[in-house]
Amino acid sequence: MMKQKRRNLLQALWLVPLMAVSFSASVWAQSASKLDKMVVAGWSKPITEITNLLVEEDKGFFKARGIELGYVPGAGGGDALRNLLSGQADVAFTDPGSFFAALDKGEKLRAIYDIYPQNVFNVVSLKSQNIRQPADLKGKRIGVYSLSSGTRQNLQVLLHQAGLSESDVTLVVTGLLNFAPLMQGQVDATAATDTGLLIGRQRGLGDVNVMEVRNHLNLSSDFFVVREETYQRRKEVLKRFLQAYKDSMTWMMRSPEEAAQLAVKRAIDGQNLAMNLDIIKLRNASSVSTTTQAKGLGAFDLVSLQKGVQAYKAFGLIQRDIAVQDVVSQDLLPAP
Amino acid sequence: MQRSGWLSLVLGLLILVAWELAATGLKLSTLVLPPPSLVMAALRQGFASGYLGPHVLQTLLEVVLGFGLGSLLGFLGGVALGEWPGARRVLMPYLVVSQVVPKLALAPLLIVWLGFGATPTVVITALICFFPLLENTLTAMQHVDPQRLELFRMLRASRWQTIWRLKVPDGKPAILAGLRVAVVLAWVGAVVGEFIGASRGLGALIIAAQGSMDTPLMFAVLVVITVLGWASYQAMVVLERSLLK
Repeated sequence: MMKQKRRNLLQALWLVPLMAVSFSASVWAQSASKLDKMVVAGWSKPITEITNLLVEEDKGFFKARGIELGYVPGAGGGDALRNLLSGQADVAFTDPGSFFAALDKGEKLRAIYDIYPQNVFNVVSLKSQNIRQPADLKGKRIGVYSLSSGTRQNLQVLLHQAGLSESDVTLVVTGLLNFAPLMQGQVDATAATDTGLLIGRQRGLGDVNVMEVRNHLNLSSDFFVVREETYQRRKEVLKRFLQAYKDSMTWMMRSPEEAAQLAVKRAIDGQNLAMNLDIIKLRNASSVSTTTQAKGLGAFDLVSLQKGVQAYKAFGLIQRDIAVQDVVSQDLLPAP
Repeated sequence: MQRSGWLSLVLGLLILVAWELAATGLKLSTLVLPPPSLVMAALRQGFASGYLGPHVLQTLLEVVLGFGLGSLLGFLGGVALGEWPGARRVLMPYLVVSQVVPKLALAPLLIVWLGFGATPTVVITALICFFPLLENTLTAMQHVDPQRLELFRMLRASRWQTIWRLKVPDGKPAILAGLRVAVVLAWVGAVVGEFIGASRGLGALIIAAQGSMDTPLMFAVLVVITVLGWASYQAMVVLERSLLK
């Protein structure tokens, strides 16, 4: 009888830690389930430029706002939108050209955050070519990453500002190694991004003339875009997502050195610490503008966006008029 | 090593020396053509820092899964189409079309259909490996020694027995040749698949290296792919020798 009681007691004692473990597991499961999953469809692989999105495991900006962050890579802004529209992601990190093109085809989308209000594109030429203004591009061979890239769209913007069109130049698809054909003299100029130019210079590009597209039309480079249905149904989650993104961006601006260090571990192209730091500083600079200084990070400049729509329509990227105030919403933006 | 092996090695070394001299002598930018010494330095640093390891493992996993799946389906398909001429006439045009369609163009859609991660790359690899096995197995099934086939008929062997005791053993050289081709193509499939929708793997690394204009790293990755592809081909040669003894 005593033996039986002792056995029962021992069994009960066994149960205590077991119950404690299962209780804490259920509490953990509940707290984990409270996180809202948000998947970002990127335009690129996990590269240094987006370090603030890659350091979630280290810094937990999104988790702190109740968001479980996911990232799916892409090959361009069009890819990001396709992944958004197919339901693989909740938010697309995409460029205005892809956004307007998708709207033009009848997709129901909404831009909710201006990630880079500065136009980061440029056209680079060797000094010997003496290309100093857009009009000098007439009759020249100009390299672009691909026919569906932002480099081509922004080259079109630049040409349009000078009253030229693509038919006035010869487009050459150069791929991502776009400065090699320029150095070899296979093209007269090449369209690139600010980070591309930075890396090109570090790889020995030499003396070049640079025409920055933002001096002609400062159209934003990337937005966060969501499906209209997501915008209508998940406003509260999207607000938290944008707040978390702003937190991560503010951190990257305040601690670029730490971000560069983490990029070594988290970014697929982050082997070079010094280059990471330069790239991060460029992206920090392109995240602010006079509009964001007045209204806070993520705020849109609707006037320049509307000018962008008109330019895209003029050179045939889109066929119909788009009123930007109908497809851009600023009500989810974090307080300045 | 045989004389031809030595000659091959010397030729390779001469090419590397000429490449080194051309790249340094002509003062070419490393963006345009890095010398082999710089490529080797990038390779050494990549492995020493642990940067390349996870990417190699990811691609290796996709190659093994894609090659295994594609080869198995190709072999079974080849046996089935070899046995049933009616099915062959109906299905063959579609199978050829499935191979003609460029996989790179389909890759973004495969990601949309199958989701992110290794799955789309494994499927692309399997699609590429499938055809050489199918074609070679089908050829093997159709070219059996008529006299031995007649013997099996006289002995009242079942269809199953004829396939597994006569057609497949007799067709081993052709089937194994298909495997040799498939294992090389598997590397192409996996790397191309990773170009589009992967965050990890040697294909993803090539795109990242191009984006950061790190040509020595890009060449280093190409060296890794070449060595692994060659090693897997040699493994198939060894397998073939042991099975055909």
